[in-house]
Amino acid sequence: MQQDNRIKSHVTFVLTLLTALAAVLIAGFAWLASTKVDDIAMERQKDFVKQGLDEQVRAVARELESVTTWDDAVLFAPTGPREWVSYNLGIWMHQYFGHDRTYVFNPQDELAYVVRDGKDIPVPTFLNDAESVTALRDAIRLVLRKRASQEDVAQPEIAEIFETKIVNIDGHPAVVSARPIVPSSEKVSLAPGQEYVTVAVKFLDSAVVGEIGRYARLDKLHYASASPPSLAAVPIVSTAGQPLGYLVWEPIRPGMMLIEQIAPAGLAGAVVAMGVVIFLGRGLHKTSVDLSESRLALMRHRDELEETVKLRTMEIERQREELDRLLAQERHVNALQRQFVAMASHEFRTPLAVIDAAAQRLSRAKASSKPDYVAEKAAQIRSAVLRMVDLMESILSAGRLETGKAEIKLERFSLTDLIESCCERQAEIRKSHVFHRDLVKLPETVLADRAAIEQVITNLLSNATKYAPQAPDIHITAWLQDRMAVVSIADGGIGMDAEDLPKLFQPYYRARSASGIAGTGIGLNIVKQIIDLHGGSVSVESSLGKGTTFTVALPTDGPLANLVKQAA
Amino acid sequence: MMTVLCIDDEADIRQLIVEELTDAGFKTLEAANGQEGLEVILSHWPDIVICDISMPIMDGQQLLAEIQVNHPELSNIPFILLTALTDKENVLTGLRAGAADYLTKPIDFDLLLAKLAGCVTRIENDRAVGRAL
Repeated sequence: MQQDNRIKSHVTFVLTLLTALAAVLIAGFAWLASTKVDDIAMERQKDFVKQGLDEQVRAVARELESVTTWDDAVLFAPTGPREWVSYNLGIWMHQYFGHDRTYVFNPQDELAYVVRDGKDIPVPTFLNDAESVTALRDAIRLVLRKRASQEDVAQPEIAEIFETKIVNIDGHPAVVSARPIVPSSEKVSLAPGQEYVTVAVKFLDSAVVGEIGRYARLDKLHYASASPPSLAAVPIVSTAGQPLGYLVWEPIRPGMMLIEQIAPAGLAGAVVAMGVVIFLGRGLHKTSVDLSESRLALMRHRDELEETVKLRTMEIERQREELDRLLAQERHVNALQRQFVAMASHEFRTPLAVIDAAAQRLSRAKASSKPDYVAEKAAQIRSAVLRMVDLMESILSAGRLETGKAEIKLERFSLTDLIESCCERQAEIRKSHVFHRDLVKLPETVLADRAAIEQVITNLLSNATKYAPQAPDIHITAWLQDRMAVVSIADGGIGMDAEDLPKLFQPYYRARSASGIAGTGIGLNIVKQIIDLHGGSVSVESSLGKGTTFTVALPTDGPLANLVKQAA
Repeated sequence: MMTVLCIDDEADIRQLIVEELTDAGFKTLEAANGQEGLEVILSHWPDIVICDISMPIMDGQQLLAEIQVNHPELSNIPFILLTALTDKENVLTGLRAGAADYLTKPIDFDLLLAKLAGCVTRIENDRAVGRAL
């Protein structure tokens, strides 16, 4: 789940980042383009405003020309009537062209007529514009004098003489323009030095600014003494270079307007794009998760498969080992059986050899006529026959026990008597050995299979003599312990290595120290099985070269007694 | 008179063989296993040895090997191996180790006496040659 979240956040993060980057790039380009467009638009607006301003300034001199180049004006200016002059040169100009002030100077540079704001001023005076007006009048006079004094040089037409300036009149920008009053035809002549000079003052007021605005298609254009930073501005500079304020307007920004118009659509597009991105991100996320889960499932499956293969391999290996073990066991059993057959034939041949030799002796010996000799040979034959019978019994018992057909027939008998008789019989067979018995602590009788127990005791005694060829003393000790008759048979013989002890009761097994001593390897197995059937136990202690002690514990009251006791 | 050493872990068989050999005119010695047999051979120098193969402590083959390796001066004493083992391998091993002959149990005394007679003849011939030389 943690991995899923990581994938989810990762995919969404990358996609969102890319989309945001794209949006920023697009917005950036749009902004750049709009700024460029706005800059160009601004330049054009400024150019139009400047052209408008120039046009207004130039217009004053042109307007002035309509009344200064006029025969009637030349004629009436010196003489009057005053109403005509002030009307035509001043009031009319105010009414038609918006000239604020008109000053008319006589050739002596005295103020002849003054019209201010469309009214004739009877006593002509300057208001606050004397300096600007007289400076312009003087400039005209200078040109006129130069023209008059230098006739040989090519002079401008007298009607072409004019002077226009932008000036500051009490803080208000104004256009001041001066022209001499000259004849418009040949019918009237004017001597040099006799010219009247008209000076018109036109303030750059709201009407003028409105004209400029109309020219530049800027409705909101207006005058401002200072330039506000948010508005576009074109400075008004006097002819002398003095700043006189600004023409300002709300700039038209087509780029920004476009941006503003397309911004909602762009925003909506961005939102839609983001939505698509998130949708895709989720889709990708889902696919990633599916893939991840598939991968995990595959890995799990692979692991399971590996585990299964491993388990199967282990199982096969285990079975193989089991088969190997069984085969080895089978081979071992086979080898033991072969050895058993060889040993059994040897075991049979030895008493047979005794019988045969004794018989041969009886049939041919010179001493055979003697009764003692015959008796001795007969005893040897009988002893050998007993050995063969024991051997046969052993093999038959082994066969019965091995096939599970053995049954024990319980009867009460004296274990002491049984041990005594077994000892006597062994003493017959092995005359070399002495059996020391201590059986007084045994109970009167035990409940067991007499023939089987006889076989047990016989086997143990036979082993004791067989594996102690040079130690004639065999000690048989018996006692009662915890409702068990315990019989211990100890010899001082060749003994066994400790490693042989655990396998000693297996069928056909023979201790390594037994090599060279005839034996079948079935005797102790028979002992063990018979004692087990009786619910008893058999144990062995041995020391190589020092002797062996077998201890048999037999329940005194049959195999069931102990089971009952254990259950209780 | 030839001296015969009889080595067998079965006292009855030993006794019966000794009786037969005594009746046949041999002087006899007895031993219960290879170890005892070697001691008797070293102390009494018998002319012929009759030896069982399967015995405790030291078996017949071990005794033969012991004589070949440690007492080569005794290796010309003829050994007649006596065995209840039926497998050929034991007999062949014994013969390769220097045994003169073998007999299987049960023992046919006529066959035993005949083989002993053969041994006696060879010994006497050898001794006659030895004297002549």
